[in-house]
Amino acid sequence: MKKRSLIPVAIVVIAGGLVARTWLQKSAAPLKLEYSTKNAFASKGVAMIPWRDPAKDIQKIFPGAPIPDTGNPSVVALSRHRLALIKKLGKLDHNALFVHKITNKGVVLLRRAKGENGAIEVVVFVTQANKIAGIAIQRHREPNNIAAKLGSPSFLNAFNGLTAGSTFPTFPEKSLQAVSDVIRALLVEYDAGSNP
Amino acid sequence: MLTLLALGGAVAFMVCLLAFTQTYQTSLRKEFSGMGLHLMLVPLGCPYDAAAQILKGRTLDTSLPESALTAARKDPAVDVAAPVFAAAIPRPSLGRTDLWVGVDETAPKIRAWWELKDGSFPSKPTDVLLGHEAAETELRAVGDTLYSPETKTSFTVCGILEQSGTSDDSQFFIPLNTAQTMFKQQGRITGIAIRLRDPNLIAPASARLQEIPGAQAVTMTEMIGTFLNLAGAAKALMLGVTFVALGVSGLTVYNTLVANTLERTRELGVLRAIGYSRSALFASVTSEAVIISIAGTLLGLLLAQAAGGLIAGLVRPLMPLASPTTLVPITPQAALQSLALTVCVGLIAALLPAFRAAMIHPVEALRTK
Repeated sequence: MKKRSLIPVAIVVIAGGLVARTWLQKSAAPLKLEYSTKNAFASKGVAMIPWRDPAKDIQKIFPGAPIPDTGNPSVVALSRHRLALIKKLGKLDHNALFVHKITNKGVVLLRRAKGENGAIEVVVFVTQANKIAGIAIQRHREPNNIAAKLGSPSFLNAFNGLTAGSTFPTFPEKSLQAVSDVIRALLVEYDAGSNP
Repeated sequence: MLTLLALGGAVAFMVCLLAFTQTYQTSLRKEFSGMGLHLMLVPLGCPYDAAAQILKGRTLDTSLPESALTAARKDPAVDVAAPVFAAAIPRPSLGRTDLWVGVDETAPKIRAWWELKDGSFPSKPTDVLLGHEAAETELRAVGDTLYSPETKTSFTVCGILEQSGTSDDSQFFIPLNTAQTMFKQQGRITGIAIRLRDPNLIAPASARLQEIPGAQAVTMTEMIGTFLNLAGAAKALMLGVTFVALGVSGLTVYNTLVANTLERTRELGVLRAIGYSRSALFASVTSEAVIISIAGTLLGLLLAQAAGGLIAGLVRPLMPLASPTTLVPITPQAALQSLALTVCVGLIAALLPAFRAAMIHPVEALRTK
């Protein structure tokens, strides 16, 4: 009789143990921290580059134009123009272009150029007719002599009015030439991508 | 049977606790060695203030003399002492803040997470090793030039680190002497990262290093002190529970043996009458206790094997930094320790019943019904 009465007690104890085990294992389970392995800079220089001082740049080149939401640029797809772009530029590391649209004025494009001493961030203003309205250098680490040339009006204005089909100016300085190449590439890509 | 179960339960809990504690300590040690460093030597004063000064790009009012490095390296407990000279150049108008870190050849030894993506560690005064993100942002590859316009210093990229998810990703690592010259802080360092030969030597080593003029030692133990205190409290609590369980088991063994000797009073009397000595009867009862203890231990080991996960689940929530993957491995050491303790408990429980059995008078025993 005694043995029989022990059986349900044993069953309850075992069941309770199993429930407790499950609960404890859940509460003791380590937090699963999953970090994104996606590299925002995977495509060198072409990932979304922050537009550091839009108000100042717009005031210079598109005075009076509204400042866009710089954290939310539009994307221009380049994938269907890949072959044509590779033929024109020699290479294409990406399939899309981030574009800041400026109402009634045009667009702003940003890219890093490989300067001689570090990256040079270029801001390119393009009109609705796909012509360059102006450029700005927002970040660089060049020595004074190159920095002076980068900031000189003669250099900055040398690109005004150029289109994707224009001949771009060349420069003996590696950094200045890198900027020129990047501006041309941006304009050619944008021109192709914005062309229906 | 109930006696065996009580003893087995207590043994199972004890074995699991011992094994779990052992595993926990091992995993803590692993965490320590994974960190690469055990303590930091920083200048006297508020370390937060020093950090704020560095971030503002100002020259540190407080820094360590390089003699502190020599003194730290002479300490017998120190395995690696890696100097660090950190300086930041914020240039918000140019959209960048350069984080320059002066290191020497010991840096890769203490930064266990460093892995070269390309190139090599700095060997020449003009070499710079770039963090992964720094290289991507500056579009630098090995062999390229990196210029610091503020200090008018030019470097050649000698290597690029793999992404580590640490602040190292965005830093420029240059030789210590170069950094000191660049920021006009010759002979000064911001701090010293120290790895000890044995983490257990942290307290005496920290006390000795604290004696270095102008330096204060901040141990990693201080940072994870809360974890260790919690772990110690949990272990003490569990050991307390285990000893109570063992005590109760000892009482059940005692109860069983007393009942046995009472039931067998006549038999014991007969044995005495036919010539059994008192010591032989004493040994008979104590050996019975030893057999029960061994059987209980074996049952406990089986229970521990079967219910190890459940018992580990009970203990684990109380142990921070416990390895989530490690189950409770029943080591021979833990099994032997449990066996020894259980036999001791059994022997203590058997003392009184054995003494009573040994003192039985044959005539009086044969009179009992």
